[in-house]
Amino acid sequence: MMRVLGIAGTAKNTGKTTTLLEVLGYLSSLGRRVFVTSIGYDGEDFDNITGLPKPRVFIPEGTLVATALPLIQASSVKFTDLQDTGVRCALGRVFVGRASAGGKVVLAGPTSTRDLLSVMKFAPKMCTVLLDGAFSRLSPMVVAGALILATGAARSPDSHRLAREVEIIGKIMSLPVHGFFASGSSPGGDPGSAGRTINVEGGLFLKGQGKELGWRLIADGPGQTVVYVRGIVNPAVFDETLSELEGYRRDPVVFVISHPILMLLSGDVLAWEDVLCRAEEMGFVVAVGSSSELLGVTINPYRPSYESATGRFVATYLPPRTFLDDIRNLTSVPCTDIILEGPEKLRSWLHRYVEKQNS
Amino acid sequence: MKCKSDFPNSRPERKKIVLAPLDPVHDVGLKLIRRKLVERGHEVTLLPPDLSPEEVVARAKALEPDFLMVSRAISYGTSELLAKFVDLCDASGLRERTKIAAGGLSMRPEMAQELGFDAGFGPDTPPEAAVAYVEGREAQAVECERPMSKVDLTAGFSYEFRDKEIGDLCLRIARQLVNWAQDKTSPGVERARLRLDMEEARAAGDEKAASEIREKYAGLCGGEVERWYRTGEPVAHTRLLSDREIEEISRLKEGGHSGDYPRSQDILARYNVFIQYGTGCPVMDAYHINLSLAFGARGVIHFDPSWGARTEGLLEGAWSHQHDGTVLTLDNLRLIKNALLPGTMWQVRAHRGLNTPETVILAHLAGADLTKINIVYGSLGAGTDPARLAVDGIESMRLAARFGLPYDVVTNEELCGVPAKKAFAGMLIVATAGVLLGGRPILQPLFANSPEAIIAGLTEDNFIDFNAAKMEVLREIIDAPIWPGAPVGFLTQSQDRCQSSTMTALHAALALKIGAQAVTIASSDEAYAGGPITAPARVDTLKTTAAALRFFGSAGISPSRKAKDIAQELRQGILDVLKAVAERGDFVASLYEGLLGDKEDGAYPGRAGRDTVKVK
Repeated sequence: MMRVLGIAGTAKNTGKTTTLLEVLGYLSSLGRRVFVTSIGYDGEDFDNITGLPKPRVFIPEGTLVATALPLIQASSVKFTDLQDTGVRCALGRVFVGRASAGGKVVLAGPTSTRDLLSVMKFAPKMCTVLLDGAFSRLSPMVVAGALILATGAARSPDSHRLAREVEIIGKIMSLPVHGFFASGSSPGGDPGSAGRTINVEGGLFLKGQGKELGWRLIADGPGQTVVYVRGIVNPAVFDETLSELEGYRRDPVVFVISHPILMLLSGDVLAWEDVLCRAEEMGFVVAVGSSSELLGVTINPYRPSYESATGRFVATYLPPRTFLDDIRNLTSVPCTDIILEGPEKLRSWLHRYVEKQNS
Repeated sequence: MKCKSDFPNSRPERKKIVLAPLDPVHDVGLKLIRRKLVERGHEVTLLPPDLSPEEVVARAKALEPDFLMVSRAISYGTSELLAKFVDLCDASGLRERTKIAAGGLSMRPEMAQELGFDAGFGPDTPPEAAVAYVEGREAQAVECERPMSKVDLTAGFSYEFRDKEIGDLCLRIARQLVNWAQDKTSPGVERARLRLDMEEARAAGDEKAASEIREKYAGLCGGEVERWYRTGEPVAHTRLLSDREIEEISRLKEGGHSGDYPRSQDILARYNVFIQYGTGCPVMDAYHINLSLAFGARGVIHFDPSWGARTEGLLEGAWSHQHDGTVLTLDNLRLIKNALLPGTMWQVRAHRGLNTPETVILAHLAGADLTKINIVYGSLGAGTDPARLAVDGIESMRLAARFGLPYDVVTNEELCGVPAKKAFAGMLIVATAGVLLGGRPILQPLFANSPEAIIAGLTEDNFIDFNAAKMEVLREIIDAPIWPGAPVGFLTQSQDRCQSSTMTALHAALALKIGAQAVTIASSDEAYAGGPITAPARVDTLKTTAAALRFFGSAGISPSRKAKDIAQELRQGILDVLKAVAERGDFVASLYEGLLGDKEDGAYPGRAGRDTVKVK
């Protein structure tokens, strides 16, 4: 069966490419067929913004690659079985090809979820699809069954803040999956024992939308209600709902958000710490329709630093061991620094993931 | 990215577009795009600049557009904001039917792709490209507009003297010069004939004949070049190019051009701006040439090593030279020719040394479009014996006429300190001789802060009047093309790249805005390189020149009243010099005797090739 594994980042330069290379190498060593693409642009010699050198993307022989045609043509790798996916990205039409030998490639694939799904139709049924992230982009990762997150000093040099982010992301990715929504049935029908339902189409990410939902829930009267939210949810807007309900409603409410990643796209992710606690204290349940398993987090002490005197970026590093330990000690999510600790921990996450899938 | 500025005549399918500035101070581009889109009949909504990304997404969703185009200057931090914005568009379902594009400073297609946009437009993108994207015309819109055909810089010029008095004197002196040279020859002239025979024999596959001619040719060479022909020992600081290097030049032509060119090329495409190359290495030259063409140069000029002008004979083969100047051989020229893009005007200069006629032959055989010949500068400022260069120069002009090669006639002796009146008199005599021989010379006044200008205070207030006066006086004298150089701006540039580029650009703009047919520019580090000329320095001056031309547009540049005074004085000076030369009755003797520039001026008759002229 096809498995989709995403390598997402919390920011640019957090180590996605390094992680991707390890994952690619490991899966290939297991003899797995790998289909790789990027939701952005990766494998270039120098960073598009900082101008600093970047890790190149080396693909093993036999890897299926989905990337823009001009990059296939410019690659030193010879590709066979080329197929036009019909998807167009900013650099041209996305083609899928099989690497006839190992070598360097630049990845530039579908950038939207819709296009990603179209391109993934070209992946064989029995393979692992590797999605290479870009910047802090997460949205297309909703199609991934599992995620590895890359974060580090480029996101913030404050290890305490990073640990809090990792922890809350881990918590959000672990929210319970609400079966009814996940089953694909149309919410809004009879939820059975769940009581009444309210459907919120288009998400909760604009100021005032949360307040409006609160009023609807108050007007709904007593009894259990399930609120299905399709779309992006901003913690501050969600908190508006809680504030409206404060003192007015104590009946159980189950908020079902279609995917946890939709809780990470708007607003300050750390705000969810208080918002989820508050919901829990009020006796409400926050669940998700479907989810992606967070396998672990890779930590990168690298940080491009702008030198105003020269007008250039220079590479700087926080002390790797201290930085990693500070984060690890404050979160329950598995963390590793691949360069510092080697790839073993990452491989153990992948091993568990593969075993689980096989079982 | 480049785009045709004229739109197709047919009305496009009406599209709905939302434009959103994500940066309060960067909505000018969007307003310009809005105007273009509305003109094409599209429905456009420009959102206010103070909306949050979430609000932009919500408004766009409500409007259900075909395209959402945002603008934002990119920096390390703001790029994350744009990535977040793309996620919002994606997760909100907006991208189900709406294409999203981004524009702004630093934006490039690669950056747009990395951020997740469907398209990206940078500061070099004309608004028409965004319109073309909306109308689904990318393929037609992203089209190279680099001129694909060459320009005849001499077209439309009659070479008639408007100033009869000066014209009569020029004709009289030029006829004397041509007659004087008629019964004379030199090793340079003989070698040129042998070279032509040799290459014709080679082309015909007659290696035996070629080998015999080569033996004769070697007998007319001197110094290290002769040694190479006799023993094969390379000239100092040279080595043969490797096969890999030769292949690299071919590959550059095959795969090096995406068709996307910088904005500066749009502007420079309307003018004939030449750059000089001669790094010593033909491979590096090929890269420099391609880079310069990408940034809008219309023509390139081959510079050879200075020892090539002082040594009898030219090498054969593909050579790399450790120092400035790329070795002049047919193989090197053919390699470089192979790297030129269609429409590139190519000049191989032959003006100053002992191999002048042969260089014209090589220029012709290699397919060059232009050459460069001047007897006076070569004799007084570049070290060649006047009699020798007079004989060789006349033969060179004869050959150039035979092969249909126009050539410029430089006045770089001004840099030595020779006043413009003498340099111009010399240039006019040589050009007149060229016309008499059936050629098409191009006048090349120096646009510079010459020693004469500095000493006489002609450039004390500005650099416009003195240079404009030169153009004016030449136009008043003769109906001939003018190509200031070479390069413009000599002695005005410093080692500061900004200052140097600005000076080059303003001199180039001045020349082109007051009617020059072409101009030659230096790189920003050329005057003070202290080492090899760098590729970025070439881009500096090409981009700055484009900017200067954009700045002046059709508004032009108006010299002050002083330019008229200088022109009048210059005309009188030229007349006086010509009278003195005519009175002397011997052009070559006039060179030796300083009538066209003396030791006081800083001009010294050269000694290379002395006593080598023979009567046939």
